[in-house]
Amino acid sequence: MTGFHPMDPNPDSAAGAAGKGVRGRSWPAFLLGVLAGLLVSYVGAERIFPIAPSPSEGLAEPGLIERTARFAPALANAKPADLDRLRARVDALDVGRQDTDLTLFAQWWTRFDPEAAIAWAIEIDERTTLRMRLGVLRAWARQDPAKALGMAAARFSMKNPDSVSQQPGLWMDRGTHAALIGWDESLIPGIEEWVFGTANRQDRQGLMQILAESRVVKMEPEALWEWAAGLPAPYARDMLPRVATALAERNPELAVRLAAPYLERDEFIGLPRRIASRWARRDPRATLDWLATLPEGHERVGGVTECARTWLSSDDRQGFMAYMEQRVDEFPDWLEPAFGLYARALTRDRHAESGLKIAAKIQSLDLQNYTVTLILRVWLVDDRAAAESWVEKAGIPEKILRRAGFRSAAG
Amino acid sequence: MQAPRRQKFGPKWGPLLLGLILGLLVGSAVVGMTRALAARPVPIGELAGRLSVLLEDRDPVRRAGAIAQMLDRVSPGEQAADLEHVRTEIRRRFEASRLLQDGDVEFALFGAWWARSDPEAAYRWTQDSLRAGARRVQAAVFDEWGARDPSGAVRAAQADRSEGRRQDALVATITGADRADVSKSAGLIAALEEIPNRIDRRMALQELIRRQLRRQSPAEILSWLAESSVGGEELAEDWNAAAAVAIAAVDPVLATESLSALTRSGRALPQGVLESVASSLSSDDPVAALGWLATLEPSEERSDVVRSIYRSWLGRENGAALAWAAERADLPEDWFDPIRANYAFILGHKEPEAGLRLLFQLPIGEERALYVQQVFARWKGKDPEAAEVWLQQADLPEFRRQELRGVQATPPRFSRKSSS
Repeated sequence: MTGFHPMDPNPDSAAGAAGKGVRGRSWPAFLLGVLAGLLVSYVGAERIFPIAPSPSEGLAEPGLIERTARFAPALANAKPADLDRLRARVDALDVGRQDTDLTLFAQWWTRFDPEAAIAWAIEIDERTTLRMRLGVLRAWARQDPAKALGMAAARFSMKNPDSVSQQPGLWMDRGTHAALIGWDESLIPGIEEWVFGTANRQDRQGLMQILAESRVVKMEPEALWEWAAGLPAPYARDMLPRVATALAERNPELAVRLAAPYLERDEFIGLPRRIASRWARRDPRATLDWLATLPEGHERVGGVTECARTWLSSDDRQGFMAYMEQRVDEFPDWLEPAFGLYARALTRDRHAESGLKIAAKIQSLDLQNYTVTLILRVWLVDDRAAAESWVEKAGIPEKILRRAGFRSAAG
Repeated sequence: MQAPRRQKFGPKWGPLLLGLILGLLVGSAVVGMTRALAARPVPIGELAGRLSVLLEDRDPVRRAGAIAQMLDRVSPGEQAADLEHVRTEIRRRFEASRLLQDGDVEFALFGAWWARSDPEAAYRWTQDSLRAGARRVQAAVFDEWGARDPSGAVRAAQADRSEGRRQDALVATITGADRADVSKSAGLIAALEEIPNRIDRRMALQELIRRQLRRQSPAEILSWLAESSVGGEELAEDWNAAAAVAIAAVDPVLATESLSALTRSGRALPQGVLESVASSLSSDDPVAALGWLATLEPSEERSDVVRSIYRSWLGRENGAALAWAAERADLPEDWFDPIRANYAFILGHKEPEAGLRLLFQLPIGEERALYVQQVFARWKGKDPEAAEVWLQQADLPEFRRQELRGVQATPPRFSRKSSS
């Protein structure tokens, strides 16, 4: 079988001619052919059997994983010119409670036109129960934090419709929260200077809380603690307790260990209370066990009070009541603040007399007076006759009865 | 003597053709191999390591895409015990990611993947971990669960004490069941009917019908419901309510007809259904919505809905709504009273006497007293003498006259122009 070979020595054969040409002009033609072949095979394969469908095609997949596997890679490579076509498909999605496709689309759009992307996101939010605008603000802040924070301030802070109310001590609106998280995710410098340079102390503390929550995710806990503790004096005082709060939410045992050397330092007041408030959401018994080991004082009282309050207002109220009932005979002094709350809870459950018996065991006079006053106030409203009858026999000090609204109400 | 060959210039077709063929062959082989490699199933044992690398990508769109592609290509193959270990490891890597915030899209992808093999554990994860507590993660878990075991998912969803999370879980379950085409399975329907909380149950049935409306016409849905044997009055009420609200979104007229038929046959409607259906009709045709409400039996709920629909129309098309009410203001129709009150109050801004006259046509009640007081106070602020003359002549009991006389005048408002 004779075949073509670029080096064929026979000048008369086609191969030889080509071989001759190799030494002359055939190699470029051959290489050109190879390149053209490679190009055609690649382009042809992409056209005829595309490895990734267009973003629009990807959206047709019913399952989240399959859909994201096809939509997101294609979206990552899409051009701004694809926007209108893509937007039409995204707007037509029936997303229900799942906003993954919309979030990815918003992030992609924000890359080249954040103003338009947030306008679209607000539209989506108004006709659904989603919060697309927050995703856009976060993505926007990754590339231009000043503008994103400005938008958050203009659109969200004024009316403050989305205050982060479920997080005690964090009053910031969700827009600012999202933008600050985005900035902290970016490699754009200046966030710490901006947060610590905020003149209003309340504003600054709110921003510090967000920064702590962002950093607890992106930094090693020890490094985060070291960073906060190493800040200049006024900032460390405000930042460290917020880091303790954020850390206690995720890893309370570690937060306790890191906070231990700081618990008796005057400049870091409230660390036990902050840790207890978060730890108690997950494991109130363990939280109380830890608090029992702390030295007597305001810090322990604050921690026990916060823990008991969190437990009492949780879904596991019954667990709190049972725990306290078990400890009544023993009545440890460190647990007194929790007994105060327990006594009041008994009163709300229409067991005012039992509540008053518990209150009578409290050694701290201030706490006892306060608890008795509140119990009597509630009892008076619930069952005046019973309350008055009890008071007549009990010999409660006049001052307490007056504060409870007793004497004036009774005449 | 042989003439010298003429040197040929121009393309060398032979080598070009040969190169092209070779290029095509090599190119196709490379493309094929690359694709085969890219599509190769990922052994589950390698998954955690590979995901860790992908989680480092700072581009969120690309990162989500790559993670989804990876999860989509996992070949199980391991025994259950190993699978548990692998899942724990993957979960650890996701949760330890420094680039992900709580509830990010990537957690939803992992939740969906986990729910394919162990939805109960994936659901517990969304409840226990801050990282996975977001709505979209829970929705991803229940969507997968709903596609595989919808009745199990419905029962699990009810365990959540938060109403919002419970209802989100139910919607996601039905979404999953719908895409897997099992949304009309007897098991799912029985599970939905057993939901003890009626608000949750109606919401879930409504979502089921809403999705079914993509495949069937509203009339078909209604006849399917009529043919189905529904056990118990309460359950029938919930099905009917859910169907009416879902159908109202695509065919509000049919929904109103269906509700009218139900009320004629003495069936009760759960609270809120009337308003929901009337609102759907009202968004396109408020007159038709109010006309339909007028045909229903009088009730406190009907009055509330009439008032709400008219107020909403006033907000959207003030002029048209007022003109329509003006034509009917003197008609003695009871159903119209809530509108008369609104209209008279607004009319009282410009023509207090006419507004008050209309208000006195209303039945005596708190609403009427409040409106009369406000219209009179405003009038008194604007033109105290005319207000007093009217008060002296008005057909009112003396105590009411004294009461109005004692009303403090509302100072007249000035427009920006006049105040500047």
